[in-house]
Amino acid sequence: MNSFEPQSQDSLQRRFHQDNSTTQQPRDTTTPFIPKPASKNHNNSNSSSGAAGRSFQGFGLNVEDDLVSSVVPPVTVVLEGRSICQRISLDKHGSYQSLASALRQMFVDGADSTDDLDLSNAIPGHLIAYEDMENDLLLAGDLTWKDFVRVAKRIRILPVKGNTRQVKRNE
Amino acid sequence: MEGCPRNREIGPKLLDLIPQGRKWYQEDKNNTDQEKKLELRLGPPGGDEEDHSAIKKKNTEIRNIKKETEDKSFHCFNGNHFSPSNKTTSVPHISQKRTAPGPVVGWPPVRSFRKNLASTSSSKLGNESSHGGQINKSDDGEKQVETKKEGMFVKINMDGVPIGRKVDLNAYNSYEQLSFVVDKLFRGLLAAQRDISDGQGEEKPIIGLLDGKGEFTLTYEDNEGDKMLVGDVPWQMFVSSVKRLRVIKSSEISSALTFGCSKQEKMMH
Repeated sequence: MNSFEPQSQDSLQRRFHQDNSTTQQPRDTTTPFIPKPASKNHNNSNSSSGAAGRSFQGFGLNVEDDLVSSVVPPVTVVLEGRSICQRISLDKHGSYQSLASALRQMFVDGADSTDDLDLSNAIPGHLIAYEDMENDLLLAGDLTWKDFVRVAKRIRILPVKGNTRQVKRNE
Repeated sequence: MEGCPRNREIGPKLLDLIPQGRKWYQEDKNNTDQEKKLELRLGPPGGDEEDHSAIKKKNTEIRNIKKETEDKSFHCFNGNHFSPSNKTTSVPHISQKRTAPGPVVGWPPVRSFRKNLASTSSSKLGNESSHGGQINKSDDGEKQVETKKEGMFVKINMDGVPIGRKVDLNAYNSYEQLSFVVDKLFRGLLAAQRDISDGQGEEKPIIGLLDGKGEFTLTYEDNEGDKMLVGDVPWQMFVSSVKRLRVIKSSEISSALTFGCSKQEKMMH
């Protein structure tokens, strides 16, 4: 998208220039000698305005990119059994491993930094699941990280065993 | 304005010529005076032959002037803007009064210039259209590539397991591969649930998803929202129409079928 828009703008500017050239024809035909410098001035002004437009639009695009990145809201993290929730910004993490380490620091007291950390063992005895935009509960880790960041709206940490209550509720 | 003083300057010369000639010559001189006046308007004075040539030149110039006026009027008609047309109408009058042969000399280059402008504009338009086409094509290609890379993730849920999974159907080529993947995804989760409910500690493989003989059967929702058994249509057709997968107990399927039979019996009665 970013690469496409400037090209379309260039094409629009070219069309604008052509329109000016077409309008200038009658002046040239009427007086071939005197108005030529005038037409040159018009060309110069057109080129300068085009350059200004390009720079301005480029700046605008940059702003839009920043807005897009800042629009991603932090995600609520709910640990089953606790009433107080926490929040985490997924855009500040680049992988599931980074997320796992953050969750471990959140919920495990005296957590040590282990190398083989993964979503499956980030919090012992618990599974890390998430709710998507359709409010479906899904296990984290199946999607790519980028897709997960785009889709996850809430993170739930559920115990592996002892789901009898939830099972009953579902039934 | 400028023409008047020129005529006055020419007057005394004509008067000087009259007393020098005879009566007959005077008549001739009068004619020559008139001719000279015409000449003076169009060109320098000269002898009899020059007079004839001057007359021819007059005719040709008059024709040229008419053509010029026609061309200018045509050009004004072509122009869409009113203000520039007014300017154009004012300027040519001045040029005609000041120098008659001037426009004749300058007219052709203007036409060639206009033709060049028209050709350049047409070529530019062609270039822009081609660029647009290229951009569109590239975008389509990129989109296709993106879809292929991202894969086709579909939600899958299983009875007895509250947490769902996502499966990339583009990574597999057959129903058998899909059944193996389902077993891999849900075996652990199912065992965890059963540890508590049934008291069994073993992980049982999930088999028979496709033939209906196992404990569970694989079904899916298509793009029309209908629930279908997996395996009836070719793999590619299945991939293109599936929206969601669901692993249900085979006993539930049999109960649904019997319910359908009972409905049919009621209809017959």
